[in-house]
Amino acid sequence: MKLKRLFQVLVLGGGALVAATACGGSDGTSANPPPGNTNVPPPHSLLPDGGTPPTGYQGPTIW
Amino acid sequence: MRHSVETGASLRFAALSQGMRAAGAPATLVDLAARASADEIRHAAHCADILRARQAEVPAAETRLLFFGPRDLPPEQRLTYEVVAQSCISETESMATLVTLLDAAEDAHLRIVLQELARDEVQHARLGWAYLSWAKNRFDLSFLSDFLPTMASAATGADLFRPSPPGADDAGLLRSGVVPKRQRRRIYLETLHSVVIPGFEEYGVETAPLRAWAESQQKLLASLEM
Repeated sequence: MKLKRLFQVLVLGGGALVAATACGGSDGTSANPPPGNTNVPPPHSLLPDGGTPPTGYQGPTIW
Repeated sequence: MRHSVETGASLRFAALSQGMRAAGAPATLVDLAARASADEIRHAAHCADILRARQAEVPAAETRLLFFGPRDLPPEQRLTYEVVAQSCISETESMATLVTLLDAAEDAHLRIVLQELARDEVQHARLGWAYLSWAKNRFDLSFLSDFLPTMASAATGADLFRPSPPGADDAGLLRSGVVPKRQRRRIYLETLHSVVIPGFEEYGVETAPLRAWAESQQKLLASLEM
């Protein structure tokens, strides 16, 4: 199993994506601010409730 | 079952993309999540094709937007919980399974499909680690630690660490795109130890509760294989 490689590609590769974004011209704090005033705090809810039970969905979700 | 897992993930990724946009996440992450949503629809179509080719019934698509975490968490924590559960745990674990399937696949069509899935899942898993890399300097991630065992357990469903029904451990399943249950348990725990736990530590998330859960599952695994 190539788990060490998976760590590099997924975990470190994910971090590199954000680092590349930060180097790409923004200050890295938010390359995609919400519309309008960027100092406005995030809205009350970032996710809808959908059909989720109050304690959360219990999978499975993996292959 | 895989078909409904894919359609459910599509709905979740679409909502995560909107949530990340609202939270001010980099456009790269917002776009990755939106693309992941479209990918999962394509994956569901592949699953349906394979089922039809085997004269099996294609289950109905998941139409409910189901999240993993408790609904009463503060907004940033709820978003973080869902990204971590979906991408850092489920998609990262799925990658390890896909690599195993790819190594064993002999059928040319199955191999092409698995390659496409693996290519997409790399991005779906990276999304979670990229999000953590961005979020660790903005939000307090310490709340995650105690939730990690619940996330890890939900990803497997209730069935993985129960005794295998007859035939579920048949090594021949691998060639047809199914990892035998016994092997799936091992892959899951090995990936947890070698990728997921070190990944959380890389981004400053305390992993003692997840390590304890993995240890308990390791003991369960040993008892199942006696």
